Amino acid sequence: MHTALRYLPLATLLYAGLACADTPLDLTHPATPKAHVSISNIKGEVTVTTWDRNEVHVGGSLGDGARPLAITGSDGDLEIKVQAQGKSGVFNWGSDNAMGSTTLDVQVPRGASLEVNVVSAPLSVDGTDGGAIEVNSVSGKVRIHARTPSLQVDSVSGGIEQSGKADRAELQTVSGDILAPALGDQAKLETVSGRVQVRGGPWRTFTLSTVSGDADVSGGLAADGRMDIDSMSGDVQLMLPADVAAAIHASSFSGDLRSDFGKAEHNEHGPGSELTVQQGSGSARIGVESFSGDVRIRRQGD
Amino acid sequence: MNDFEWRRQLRELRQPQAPRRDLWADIERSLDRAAATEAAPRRAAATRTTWLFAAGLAAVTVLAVGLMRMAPTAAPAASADLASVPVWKPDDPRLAGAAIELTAAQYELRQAIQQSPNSAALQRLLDRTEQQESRLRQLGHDAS
Repeated sequence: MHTALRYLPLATLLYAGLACADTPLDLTHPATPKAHVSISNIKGEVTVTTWDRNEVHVGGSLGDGARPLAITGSDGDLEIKVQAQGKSGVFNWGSDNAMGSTTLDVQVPRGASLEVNVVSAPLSVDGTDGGAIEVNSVSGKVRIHARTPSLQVDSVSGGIEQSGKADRAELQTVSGDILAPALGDQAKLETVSGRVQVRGGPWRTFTLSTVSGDADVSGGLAADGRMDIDSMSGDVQLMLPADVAAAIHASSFSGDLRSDFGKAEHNEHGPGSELTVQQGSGSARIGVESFSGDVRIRRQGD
Repeated sequence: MNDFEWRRQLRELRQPQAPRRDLWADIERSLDRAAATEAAPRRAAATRTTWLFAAGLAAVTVLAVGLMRMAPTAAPAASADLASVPVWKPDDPRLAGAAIELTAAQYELRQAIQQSPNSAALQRLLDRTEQQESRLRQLGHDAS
């Protein structure tokens, strides 16, 4: 009896440890080659990789306090959703205080399309080819390495890193940085204070708006392409191919404007400077407007 | 380091610094003390000063009325806009930082629009910033 009492605290601790331990995940569901896979996780991590099987597999571990996880839906439209116990609602991520971190290692068919909602969970997508990707994140970093016809990422403070090829991309942050060196022919980028560094083209349409984040853009335009860059106080550096054929118009209210394509003119009556130049014979148009940020328009290779 | 990078780093230094303690109480006390010590020896000249002050006030009033008639009507509206920037304070700490960023950005954009009222780019930026705030408000709503 005394021996049993002696080991009671240890047994209690062991039981408590087991109760709080994360639950290993090993779930599989059949999937079509171009299945749409929806993933939601609030806290922890999400990693999506591809394989040559018509199945979706979920590994990793389920955090303490989460509902038992299941892959739901049909073979062509699957859902993996981490939720806190006793909570309901569409996303309900404010409930994450009652739940431990969940790590999701998801394998999907290479041609799958993805819709991922994460809050404080970093997301990594690697290797998908051909499917659209849509991501909503709050503070988790988003890293996408994929070939996709359509990439849409909305993030608050988490940064976005894109590689591979995105034919059409819409990337938006409040304070997160945007690093996208492989943007296809349509790109729309928005940030408040994040730094933007992008490459790609030739773009048919390219739109960038930043309030105070600096932007570094390198790429050319399609024959009838259109590029618009708006900045309030962020500095803008635009690198264009030496043989760019476009009408370039740039202006800054109080920032410093310099260009390798023509000389900026200072306004005679009031602040600001402006550049208007036709480069080559193309019908493409480039517009850069800044309030107090500096603008540099450079020729690639100089 | 190139010129562009140098300027960027210089710009990053231009951040507001909050004092470690509230300075207004001491400033107010000092002003009160200064006013009290200056008041006594100047009683003798009070009558002359009063007349000068009244004349000055009348001149300033005439000038102000004239300027108000000349000024474009948009200026007072813009000032009202600046004062009426709604402050959004979400409960979730992950959104609170973004809310501060968005409020500051909207305030700065409105200030910039006052200086450059014909800038379509600034208006587009303000519209997009407001749309971002709407999206985050919806996120905050979903969180609760």
